[in-house]
Amino acid sequence: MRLRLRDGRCLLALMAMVVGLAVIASVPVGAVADAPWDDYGFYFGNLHSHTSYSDGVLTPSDAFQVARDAARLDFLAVTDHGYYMQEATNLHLWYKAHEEADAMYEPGRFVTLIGFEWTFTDGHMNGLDTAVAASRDTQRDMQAFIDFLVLHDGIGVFNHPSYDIQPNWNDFEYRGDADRQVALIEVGSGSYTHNITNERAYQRALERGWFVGAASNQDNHRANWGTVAPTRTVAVARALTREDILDALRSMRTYATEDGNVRLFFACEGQAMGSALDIVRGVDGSAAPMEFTIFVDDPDSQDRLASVEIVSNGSVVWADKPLDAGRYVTSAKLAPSSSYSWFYVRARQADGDLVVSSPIWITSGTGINACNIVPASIVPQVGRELRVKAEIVNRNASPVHDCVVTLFTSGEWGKEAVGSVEIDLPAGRSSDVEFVFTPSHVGRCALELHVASRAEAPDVFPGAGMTVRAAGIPRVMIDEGHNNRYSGYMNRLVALLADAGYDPALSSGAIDSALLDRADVLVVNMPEQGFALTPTDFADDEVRAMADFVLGGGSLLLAGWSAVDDGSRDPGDLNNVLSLLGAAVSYDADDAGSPDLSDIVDVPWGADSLRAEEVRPLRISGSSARVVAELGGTGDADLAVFATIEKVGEGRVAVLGAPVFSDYDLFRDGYSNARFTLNLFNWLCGGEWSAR
Amino acid sequence: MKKLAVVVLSVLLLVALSVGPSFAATKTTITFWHAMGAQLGATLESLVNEFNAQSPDVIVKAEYQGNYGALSQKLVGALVARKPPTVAQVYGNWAAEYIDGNELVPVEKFVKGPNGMSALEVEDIWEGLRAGCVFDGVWYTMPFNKSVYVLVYNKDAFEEAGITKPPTDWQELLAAANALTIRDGDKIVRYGIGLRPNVDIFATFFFNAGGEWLDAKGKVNVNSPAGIKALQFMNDLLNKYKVAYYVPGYLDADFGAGKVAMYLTTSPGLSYTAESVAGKFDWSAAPLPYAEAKYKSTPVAGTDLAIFSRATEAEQQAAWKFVKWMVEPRQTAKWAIGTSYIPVRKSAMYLETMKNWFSEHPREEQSLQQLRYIKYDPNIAAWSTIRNDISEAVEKVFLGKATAKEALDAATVKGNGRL
Repeated sequence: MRLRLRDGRCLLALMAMVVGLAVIASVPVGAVADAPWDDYGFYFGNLHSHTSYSDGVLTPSDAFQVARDAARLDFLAVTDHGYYMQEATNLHLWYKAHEEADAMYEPGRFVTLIGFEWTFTDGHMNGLDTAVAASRDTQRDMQAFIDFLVLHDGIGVFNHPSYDIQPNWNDFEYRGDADRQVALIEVGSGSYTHNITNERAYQRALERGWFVGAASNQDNHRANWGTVAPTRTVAVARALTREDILDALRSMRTYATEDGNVRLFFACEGQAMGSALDIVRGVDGSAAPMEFTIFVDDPDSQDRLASVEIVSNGSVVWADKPLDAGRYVTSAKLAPSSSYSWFYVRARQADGDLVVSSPIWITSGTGINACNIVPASIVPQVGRELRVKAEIVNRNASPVHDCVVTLFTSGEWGKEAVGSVEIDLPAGRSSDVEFVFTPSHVGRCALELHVASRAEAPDVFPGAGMTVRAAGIPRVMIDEGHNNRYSGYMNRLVALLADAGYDPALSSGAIDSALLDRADVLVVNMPEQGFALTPTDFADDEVRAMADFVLGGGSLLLAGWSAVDDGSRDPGDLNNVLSLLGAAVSYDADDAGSPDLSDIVDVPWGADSLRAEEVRPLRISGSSARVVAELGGTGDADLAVFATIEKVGEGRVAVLGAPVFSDYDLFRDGYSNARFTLNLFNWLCGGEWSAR
Repeated sequence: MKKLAVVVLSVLLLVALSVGPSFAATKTTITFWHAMGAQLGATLESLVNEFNAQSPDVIVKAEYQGNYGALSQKLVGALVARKPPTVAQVYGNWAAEYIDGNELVPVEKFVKGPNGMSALEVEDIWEGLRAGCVFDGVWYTMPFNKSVYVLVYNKDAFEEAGITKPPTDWQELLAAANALTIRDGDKIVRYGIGLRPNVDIFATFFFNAGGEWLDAKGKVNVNSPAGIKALQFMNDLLNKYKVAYYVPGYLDADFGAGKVAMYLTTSPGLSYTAESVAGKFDWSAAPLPYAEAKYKSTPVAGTDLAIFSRATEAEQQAAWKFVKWMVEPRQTAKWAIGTSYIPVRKSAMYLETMKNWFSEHPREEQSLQQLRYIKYDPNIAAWSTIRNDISEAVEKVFLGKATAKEALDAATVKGNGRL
């Protein structure tokens, strides 16, 4: 597709289209006078910073001065921790900060703001435009803080929403009262150059129904307000005054940028980012495409645009690679894929700087959103009961009664309703719904949820895709009923197997014939004595059951673990199984327990290598066991055996020195543990061992 | 006779008033930098005021510097500018750094001096606390706001789960955490225990598995079998058994809200717990559970008082008077009652006020039970950075980015590079 810009340049639009989205055309934007961004100024600032009034350095006056003169910001909010300013000895700091801010406020030149940071375990939040500061000592939970924001009609900001450092407000659980106050989220956070690292959280918040715009703040704790990096929150405002900046923040007319002066505007049908529009229905009732406009302009000639994307409901739905530097203006017609859709722009410059806009929402106007429409079972299978869960969010300030929620599946065979529930939706909250049905078609299918809150057309929400497997695929049972180091760390193996067409399951009980009747392959990691909720060894009849299972045609995968001097890792039970099977391999019971023996295992069938920690070597006492991996030692003398495969009775047994398939090791960069594991399972399920 | 007495008194008063100003002129003013805010700050202020009121020749100006981070920054800045306070609260590893720069006067000098402390008085300071103030064999600082860790637990939840006593060892802790965890389908409504991804909470497990921060050669020893066992156990609570969760911040609010049934905190944290619980349920505190009884221990937290060498001899002597006074039994008892820190002098325990207070505050008394088992951080300058390395390792493991062994091996290599 070729796009023609208004200044006559052409560019090639590299499309990334998503199913269900119709791009009708990308057309030139009209005359300059019509450009919606002409009504606004672009003001570059920072909404999160500290001084010695809490745990930073110097004073708000110093911060404002550095931000204004050295960093050339248009606005700065000093947001010291609330609990410092609530203490009996320090309340005056809050007022002092305001005094300093007022003294340095110059409408039209520099806007000074005083806010506070509320440090709560679920996630820290900034508050702006409040008469006093909230504190973790006074506002002790989320509700208390929200009540505070409502009382003072303050602006809330979700701070540094990284899942690595905080639970992100119970993963952005929806709360209508809070949503009316919280305007921004730190898509970018921190005092460094490429700080836009929280897009995952941004999307999660949008997905769960929050109306929040994009910010990139520095959270300065040193004397580097604005100077530490060119990252900025940009307020697109009528004028550079406190009122106008705060209005831009409340209206979410903002974007987050890693570049210090790039201008960006995103609009739909003339409405700026931060706006919510109603879906326009075509004659057939379907959502009609709407016109989105993107404007990007960087005064620095070297800051070329590398890519521009529109992200909607978690996917890139439109993309372009501009060929030229300078002003970039384009438009695209996109139809929303859901009754609750959000769109934002992600632009990347040639130097890697990211710019992320606030969203535009296009919704049915009912105030209902649905998300997390996913199968609860790992392997959907024909003829087996499947649970599908979904979350319905009522964004309205009043409850919605008698909602009919219907789940559809659609695939090559067509579309069918598979379940329906009726629920009442409480105001400003999310509700969980669950469907149980039995798939009857093999293959890929998509989930779709219809929510009918009134007599009119239902809201339609696309859900996850899933692959329904045929009946009779190999069943893998992973023992977690005996304490071992890797219980709880088999999730990636389960996902890998499910994806590869196996039917994996975790077992937390005893191993007996009833359990083994439900398995084709049994995976057992070596137990460990110690603090445990499950037995730390195998009973005799469990050992017998495992042996009988293999002799009768089942497959067994054993994984060991090196010794430690307290005797807590004993290979006795596993060796008993191998002995009952008459296998030619056993675990080295005299392992000296040298964890540093080798972290790397060389695989003789190629240049690849495996990674494993704390390996217990194997002993071979016959020719029936085939060695498939050896420990890479120093020198070439007598490599210790790491992995063998062996046919015994009607079944097969694979023995490993360590579980190369644990969550820690399965997908290590530079190692081929996953491929080796799939090769093993292929062999265990009757296939041939392949060298590659 | 009465008249005469009045006259004599009046004369005495006049004399006193006339010499008053000259007395004041000879008073030595010293500065005391601290990081005690809120209730802690108020208690400290009142003690300082009391000292000033009764001291004929010393005036202490107590100056709040913000939290410990701010205090540390300001002390470093003040030392660079050669204008340190006379006295300040310092952590052991800060003190180690200052001692390297000859910035502190050992309290030992004053203890042995004319206005010193008797052997009995010295022994009256808890040995473990005193040992934490000794650097290369020299006693440098005075234990001040010290606390130990306890396990806080929801007694109502214990009762509902049929658990009759707080867990003493890790097996009991695991079983209790499991019994206290409430699951609703895939969701967890209440976790058994709350953890934090930092070196302090790791230390509560590390010491109780027999861990020692440094080995006999003074090398970082955190990847010892005890270290791996401790971190693995914490991680198992989180990821294997899913009976725990972790947050970077404080857990008292979650405990009060019933989101978690147990957590670990220091004794001054108990007042926050009480505020958060606000009478909604019955709760208590118990000593930290251990891996093996022989390793029963608790990390000690909090700072000591240091006297800076840049002060004049007169200021140093004045500072010593203040420091010595602050830890006298009556004062340390007041301090303990006002803040829930532990009294640093054993004899404080025999004061009626202290006895009454503990009988009314059985949870705080649990801290005292642990005083015989305290362990402290190495008094080496590099320790504050090594602490960060260990916290990083703990966080990595919690996030599933490394095994306990891998993360602690890395922290050990890093740490030894800093020594």
